[in-house]
Amino acid sequence: MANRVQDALYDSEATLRLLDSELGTLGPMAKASPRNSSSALSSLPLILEAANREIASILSNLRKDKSQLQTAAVERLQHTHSKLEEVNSATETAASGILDSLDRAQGYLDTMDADSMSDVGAGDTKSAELRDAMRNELFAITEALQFQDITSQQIRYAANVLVELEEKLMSVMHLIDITGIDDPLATLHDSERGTYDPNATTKNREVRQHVADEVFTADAPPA
Amino acid sequence: MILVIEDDPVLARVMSASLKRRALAHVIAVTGAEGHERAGRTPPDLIICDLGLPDIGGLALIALLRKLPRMSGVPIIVCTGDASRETVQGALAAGATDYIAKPIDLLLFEERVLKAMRAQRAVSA
Repeated sequence: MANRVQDALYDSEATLRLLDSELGTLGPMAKASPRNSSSALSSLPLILEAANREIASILSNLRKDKSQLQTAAVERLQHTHSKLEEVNSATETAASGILDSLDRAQGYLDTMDADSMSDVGAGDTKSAELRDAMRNELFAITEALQFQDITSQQIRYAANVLVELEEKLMSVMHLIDITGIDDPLATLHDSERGTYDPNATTKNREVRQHVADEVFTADAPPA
Repeated sequence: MILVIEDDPVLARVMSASLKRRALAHVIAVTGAEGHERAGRTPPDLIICDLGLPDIGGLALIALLRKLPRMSGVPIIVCTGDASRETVQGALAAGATDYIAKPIDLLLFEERVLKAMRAQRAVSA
């Protein structure tokens, strides 16, 4: 499909170059002699008509390929966009489920703490230490779940790139009179596209925090 | 009472878990408008604010919050992934009092929140 489009563009360019060349020869001929000028000008409509037939034929072939263009390019973009939305939704659901489990686990630990308060004995110190260690592990898992916020922004950025690609593709298709894309991504409202930081990343947190602390220390107004 | 303005539901719960660990009472607002309305109704002791909200830019929100009655001295901690010098300076100029880069180091988060709460209580006393 890409080759056919490329071939069509090459053919169009070749036709236009030929037209340019033919038109270029008319000028000197016209200057050389008035008689040549009138015969040169009389052939101009024929040249233009030939070029027009050529280009019309190329455009006609492109229009015939409309359905292939729609399937190969636009529908794939829309399908990929849909998949990215699905990934975002799935990770949010999974992260929420993990947080629910963490809340329950925390609750069990609190119950065990309360139960152990009524027990007497040195052995309870080890149990208390284990429960504290367990809490720290649960806390570490909670902290790690922040990946979901970062990845969802990165995915929304990628999804927005697809929307922009579709817009550009539709502009090209409109130029060659291909219309009728079903449910274009470009009609998605901003609220459906979601907000995101295009630079969202999990990398270099310490460096970024250091920059922020520097600014707030250096530039903050006196208390 | 701490007001957390964060639209990502998972991250809001992560911050909530951290605040609960320190027994810090808090409420979550998921939009700038909701955060603004809550702060206007009952001025919080501290605001923790994301910059990438669905309805309003975080810096604009901070500037609006500062204009609310009894909000001029309330500490505002920004939590966001964008820690470019420009954005950080913008947050400071808008009225933020601290800045935490995402993904949040929860121990740092708790330390900064407790510090802000202590300072606020000292001012209120």
